[in-house]
Amino acid sequence: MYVDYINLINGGILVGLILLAFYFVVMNMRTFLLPEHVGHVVAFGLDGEADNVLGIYKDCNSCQISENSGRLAFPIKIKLDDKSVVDAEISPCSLCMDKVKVGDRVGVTTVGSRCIAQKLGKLTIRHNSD
Amino acid sequence: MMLFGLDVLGLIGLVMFFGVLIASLKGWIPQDVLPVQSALVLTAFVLVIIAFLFGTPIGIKDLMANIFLHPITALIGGFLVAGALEASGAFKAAISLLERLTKTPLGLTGTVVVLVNMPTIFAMPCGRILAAALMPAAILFGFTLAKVKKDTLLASIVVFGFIVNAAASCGPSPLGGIGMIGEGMGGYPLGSLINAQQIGIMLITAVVMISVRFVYKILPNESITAKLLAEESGEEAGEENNKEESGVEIPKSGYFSFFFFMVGIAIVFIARPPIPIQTILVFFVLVIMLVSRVSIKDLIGGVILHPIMAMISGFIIAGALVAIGSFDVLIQILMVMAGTPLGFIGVIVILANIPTILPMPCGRIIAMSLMPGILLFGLKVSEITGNVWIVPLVLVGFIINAAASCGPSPLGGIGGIGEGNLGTAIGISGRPQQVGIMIGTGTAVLIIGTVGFI
Amino acid sequence: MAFELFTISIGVGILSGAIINISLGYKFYDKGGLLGGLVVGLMMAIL
Repeated sequence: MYVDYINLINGGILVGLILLAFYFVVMNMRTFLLPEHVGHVVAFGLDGEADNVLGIYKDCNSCQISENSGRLAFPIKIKLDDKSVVDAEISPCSLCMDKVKVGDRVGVTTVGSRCIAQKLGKLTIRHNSD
Repeated sequence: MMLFGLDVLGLIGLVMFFGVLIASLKGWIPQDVLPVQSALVLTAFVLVIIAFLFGTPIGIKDLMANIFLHPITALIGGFLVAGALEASGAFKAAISLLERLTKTPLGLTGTVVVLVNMPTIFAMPCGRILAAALMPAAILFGFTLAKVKKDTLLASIVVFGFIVNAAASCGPSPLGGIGMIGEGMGGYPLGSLINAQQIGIMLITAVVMISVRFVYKILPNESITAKLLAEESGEEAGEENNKEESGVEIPKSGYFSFFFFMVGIAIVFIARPPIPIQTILVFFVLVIMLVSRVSIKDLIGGVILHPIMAMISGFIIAGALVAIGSFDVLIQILMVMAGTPLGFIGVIVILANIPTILPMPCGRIIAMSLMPGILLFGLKVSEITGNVWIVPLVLVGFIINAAASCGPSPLGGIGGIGEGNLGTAIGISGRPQQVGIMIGTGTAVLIIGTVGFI
Repeated sequence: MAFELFTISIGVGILSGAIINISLGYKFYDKGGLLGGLVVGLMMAIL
């Protein structure tokens, strides 16, 4: 009976993780097909100054350095279509693979407690923020 | 229908698969329109249509049959752990501990040796997690050394050594790493392939660093160097950074989470409790959440979505290739190649190095797609030669190579993080990484071949 | 098996420490790099 309880817990955890996997697949598709807001990249980093030394590499996917200590994702400033500027985060995968640079069109979607920015593909259903 | 003794449908699948990879690498398929993992999923569906036209339809069940839930759930569990560690400040604590290490007999060089190997010691499910989180430390130590030795090349040496270690670290990760898939497919106990990979990765790192030093000499951009060296002279690295000034204080829960994770993983691998790794990972997450008061939303936001999609797309194309017999065709072709002066060894060397020859931005893409074929070839050769160690040997070589291959990828590999931070040309770090990876692959294979599972 | 694991891991760790010493411009037998390699090899073996 003791073993049954353990198997139940293990089974429950597996099912929970599978459901989470589905959720993440859907959220991933949402970030580039149907984002909550749309805007363009203004600057990288927490201080968001596009004309600092690293900002001269506007054509390169350079990442801010010291501000990113211990963080999984890179901070990024986005100017939305409604002219407001938001602080978002972009994963190191998106940054490099999508070659995100200042001026690129990105979508912003809330996943958990973060605002995730994702470069928009040609197939995005445009979603204007209001 | 046969062509030169090969099943035509299987051959079409193989040609399309490698065709998509090569076209993506060459830029013939623009990555901003159709990224490689989406292209592969599309290819899978095209193959379904072609199979239907050939009169051998593939069902959804066949496509999905290759999606193994064990590695996906382990990966999700691993990312939850990573998210919890980040939210609790464990990575910041790790950086702070590294700074303190410089005052021990290890000194600056010893700390650099530990730093560049941290991603593989920590072994997160995706190398980009620690590449992003610890990059400030790599830059800090790199430029500190550059200042001490008056040679800016040292910054590149440290950064690229760190980067390739991060790239390769997802292979041996017990948190849903690529190695777990090989262990599962081959039927080996959890952790059998980990140690050989870790040892190989130590050598990959060292070889990359020495080749950047003496052969490739990739210097960081001058303006970045000037700025960072000016910052270094303002604060001596090696002394404790005044975190209060920058407004970033490391919570005690960060240190707790860091040590709890390290000790926990060590106990798991020493004691090997009969508990699924997913349950263990969820347990880690719950403890860290309770102690560090991390919310579920923080965890969910911390999951990097790309590797999950890369894994699933790899599984889907593998399912299509298995169903239409492409791997049988691949085995036939490889057996013909083995009949040439290459022999079995030559073919195994080429096979194990295919991921670095066709480097994808995420090693899981090619690892998942080709793993069944690698296993089948290993079994075939094992059957012919009577040597049972051929299978784990081929698997470990392929896995370590696939894991590390995301470093030099021109489609946005981890190398880009280092290149961007140092201001070098994009893609310049590809060659030294490929050299290091080849050496490391050979080492891991040598260990399994001579000593077995250690 | 554990003996072989620790021996190979520490050995390769020290070797990679020596190689990193050279790449950083120090002598291969520099104490810092070798100790660092030893620590890394040990941690790889344990974790």
